[in-house]
Amino acid sequence: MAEQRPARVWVMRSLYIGLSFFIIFLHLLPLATSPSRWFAPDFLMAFTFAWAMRRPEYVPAVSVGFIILLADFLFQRPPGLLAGLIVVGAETLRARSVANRDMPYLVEWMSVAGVMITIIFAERLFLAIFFIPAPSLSLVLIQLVMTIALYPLVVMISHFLFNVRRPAPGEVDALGHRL
Amino acid sequence: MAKDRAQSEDFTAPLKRLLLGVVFLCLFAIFMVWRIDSPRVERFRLAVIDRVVPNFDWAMVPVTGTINLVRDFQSYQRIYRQNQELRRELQQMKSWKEAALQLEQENARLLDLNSVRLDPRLTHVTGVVVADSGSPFRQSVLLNVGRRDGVLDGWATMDGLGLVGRISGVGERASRVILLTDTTSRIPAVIQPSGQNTIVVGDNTRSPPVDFLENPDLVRPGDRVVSSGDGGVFPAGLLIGQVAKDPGGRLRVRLSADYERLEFLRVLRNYGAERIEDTGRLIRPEALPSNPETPAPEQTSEASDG
Repeated sequence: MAEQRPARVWVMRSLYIGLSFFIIFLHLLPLATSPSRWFAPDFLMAFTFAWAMRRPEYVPAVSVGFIILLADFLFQRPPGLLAGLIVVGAETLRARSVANRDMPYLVEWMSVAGVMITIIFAERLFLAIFFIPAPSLSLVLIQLVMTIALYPLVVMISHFLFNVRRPAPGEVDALGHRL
Repeated sequence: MAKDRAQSEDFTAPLKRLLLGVVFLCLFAIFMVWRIDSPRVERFRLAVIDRVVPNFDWAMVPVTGTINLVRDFQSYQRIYRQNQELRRELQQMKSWKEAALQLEQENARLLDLNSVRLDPRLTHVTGVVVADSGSPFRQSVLLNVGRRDGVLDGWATMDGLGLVGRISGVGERASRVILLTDTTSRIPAVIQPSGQNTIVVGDNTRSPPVDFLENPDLVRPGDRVVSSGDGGVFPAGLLIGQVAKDPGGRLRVRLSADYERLEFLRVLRNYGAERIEDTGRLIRPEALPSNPETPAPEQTSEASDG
């Protein structure tokens, strides 16, 4: 039985931040300077949700809020809006994470997809309420569909590369609490 | 077990919930502040970008370069297909280039025909070559100008550059031009700068020889051959070509006119040289300076000038 040492939790938390910085970095690369007809999937959201679903202790709300807020600032989005929504979404998934351990993978995928769709439409709702011009719906939907479609890939990367897996039954943390 | 977990979460759960609430409120507050006081938050956003993005800078350039390199490499896969396409396009371009060259030459020739001013006394009518002789032994072409246009037998025809031949046979709306290369063509010419008179004799070759040269030693290859106007048939001073020496040592004329492409020919109207009819008279001043007053105004004008 692999024991969760506190150091590992902190390593994984900083790994989340580092991975997020890497994704932001990739987005900032000046590769496509002309307007394109599609957006890359939102890997930041996908990784956040995948980790929140599987190992909630790796993605505390503070770091999620910080990272997405930073992305909001860097990507010229309304600051704080998407960050707040994703924090709420991550918390929703975190609450389900215990139940998720016994569920088939498809259910996890569906619940994550549901949260993503809710977030996107809630964002558009907020934008409409505050009279902020929203990006075109088709592009946003394309991005949403791609993000949802690539969620299994994100899970696989997390699983095999970063060793972020569902806790095995009976796994305990450093203080002996059950996960 | 469930009780155990509940106990363990007893004191952390409210703290976490509080933290979550604080985070969410902070984010929402940022959003509201941005909505209310956009310029200030935008300035803050710029400051954040200013702090964060240059930190990526050291990695951005090489990564961008590498990705572009990979993209370029992927384009090699398409290179064969591209090559085929380019070949096909090149083939089309070649035919277009040929057409463009021909048009350019034709245009140059037409421009030339429009602007050449040989002698203001000479006017010309330009005709299109409609047919050639059709026989390898006769060198002549048919023009689409004839008696209708006032063309007379014996007039000279030129293309843009040089003499081509003379009119021999005029129909109502067509006329035949005997080219300088025809075996029946004899044109009096003068070779410049030596000034030797000669006759250009057509012999059914591309470069007709010159004949009846008084002193061939004065003639060198490259000298200009122009029509002399002897006999009053041709106007003088029309360029025929340049002297060249063939391998047998015979002097020939390399014709200036482009005989490969005779399309538009100019027929020079020439009503012959003026005849001098009367005999010479005694040459004397029309009016003798009889009165002495005529120089007077010159003097005054000079004085006023002075």
